[in-house]
Amino acid sequence: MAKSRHLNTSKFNYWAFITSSLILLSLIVFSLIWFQKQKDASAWVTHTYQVKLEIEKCFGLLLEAESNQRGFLLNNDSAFLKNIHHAESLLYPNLEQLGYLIIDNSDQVQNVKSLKLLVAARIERMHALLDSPALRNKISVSYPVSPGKAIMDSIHNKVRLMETQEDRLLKQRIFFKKTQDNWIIIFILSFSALAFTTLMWSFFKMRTENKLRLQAQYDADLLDGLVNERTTEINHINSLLTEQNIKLERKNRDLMSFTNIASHDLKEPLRKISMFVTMIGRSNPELLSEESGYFNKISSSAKRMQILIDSILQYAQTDDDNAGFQDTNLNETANLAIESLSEKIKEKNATVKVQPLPTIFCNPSQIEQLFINFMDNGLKYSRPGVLPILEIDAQLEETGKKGGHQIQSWQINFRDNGIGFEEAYREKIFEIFQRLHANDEYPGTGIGLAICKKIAENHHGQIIVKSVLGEGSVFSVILPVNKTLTHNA
Amino acid sequence: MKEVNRVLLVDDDKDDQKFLKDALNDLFPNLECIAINNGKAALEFIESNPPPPQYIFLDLNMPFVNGFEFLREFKKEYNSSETTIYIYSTSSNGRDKEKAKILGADDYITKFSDFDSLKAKLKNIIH
Repeated sequence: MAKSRHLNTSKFNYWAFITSSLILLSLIVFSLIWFQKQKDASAWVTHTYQVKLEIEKCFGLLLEAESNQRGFLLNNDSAFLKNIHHAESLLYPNLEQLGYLIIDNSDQVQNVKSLKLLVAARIERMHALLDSPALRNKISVSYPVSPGKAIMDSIHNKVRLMETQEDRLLKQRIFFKKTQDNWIIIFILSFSALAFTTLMWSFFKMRTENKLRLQAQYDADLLDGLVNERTTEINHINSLLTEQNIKLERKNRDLMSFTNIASHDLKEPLRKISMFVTMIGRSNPELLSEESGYFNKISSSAKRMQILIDSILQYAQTDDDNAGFQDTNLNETANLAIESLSEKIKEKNATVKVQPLPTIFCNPSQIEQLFINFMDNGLKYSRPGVLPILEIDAQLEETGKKGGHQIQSWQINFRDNGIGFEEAYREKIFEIFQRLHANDEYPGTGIGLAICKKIAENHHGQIIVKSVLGEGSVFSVILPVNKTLTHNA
Repeated sequence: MKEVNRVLLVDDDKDDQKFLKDALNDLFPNLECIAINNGKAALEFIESNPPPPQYIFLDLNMPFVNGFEFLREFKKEYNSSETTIYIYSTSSNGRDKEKAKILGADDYITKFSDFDSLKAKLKNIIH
């Protein structure tokens, strides 16, 4: 939006510049033309004055010649004759000059032609009179003057006519020149005003635009500063996070290698203790024959310690690694678990009933471990004198809402008819090393259910348990369907 | 049935060498059982005492040349030999088992904590 306004202003300035330039250019061109026309008009006015002057001059010379003739006739002084000749000698070139000046004006050409004839007639008459024999003999006579006067009157009239015509032309030309002057002034003034207005307008527009641009620049700089500040902050936080991540990774690696090394190194001596005990038994079988003998106790303690270490290792290695997730048919998982526990099942003469189970997206080895641990629990905590019955089934449950969608979960139930426990302990039994019974009563490590809890959490699920003391327990693991496949096997 | 005359034990643990030797001697009294402390020495022994033994029990965690390195080298040098190689390790790690299988081990035995179980296993795998 701001950009398009900016573009429009630029476009406007561009056109304002072009317009002003064109106006100024035309002003220069028109001024040049006007100057030329003005020169022409002045030349014409001067020309007219010149024509008038020549006419006056001709008439003046003729009058001069006439007055000298009169002077000669009265005084018979030859000086007058000389003046007449002089006037005459100037008169003809004058007439020629006049004829040349008015060559463009056909009326005046006609007038000059008849003027020339009249002048010639008047000069001829003058000469006739001066050359008369009476005059030559210096005899005083009276001379008829009327023919000369009539010619002179005609000349006078012609001169007036010509002068009137030139006056009219002069008036016309002066008027033309003045009109031209007025128009050109109006033209120059209006064009100058237009150019000035355009320039001023674009100047103000530019100033406004400049102000806006400066403001925008200022805002952008301010924003840049803020962004830079925030970026620096984020970079700082990121580097801190990266640092923490590296530290955490190192810690995790250390912990992992610690558990591996510790378990291996702890197990080795125990394995050897057991091995040596059995080897002692080879050479001294009587030492192992007593049920409660020391060597048997050493052996069973070492074995128990080994089981404990294995369990701890298993607990530590049950991580939330999603890489191992895949579609898993739980019926197969149940079969694998039954196979693992086959000896115990046989020993306890137990019955295992497995209803059809779904295929879910999970870590198969972890879920298999969960099946084994729940089933092992059911077998271990059986009621004396009651044959154990283990039942496994699954059902789809609505377990809440998220973003307007119902969340569905698979609830897999492990039911037994064992000794059960009091409701008060239903949290405690999932804590690591927590046991409700003495080891000689029900041997165990207290890690099995803790591992189950960890596996359920790794699958974004949970475990709920219902139990009645002396009747049995139901362990249910609930796994959200978005992590599972919804078809029954 | 071919008579077993030579078994190589590659293990840095003297106790384990003894357990395995005793168990083998109990089962096969005429067997020549050679124990070597690490993979490097084992490779040198095999090179200077051809042909390669019929069975090799191989520990994984050893100094100089470990079990995996030994396995790789041995398979490269004596690929056509009829030697059966058993990994004999305390590790029950799935990754180790997978790696041993890929490198061409014939079986993977986790070290026993019971002498009779060890003997039973050996009886099963050595003919």
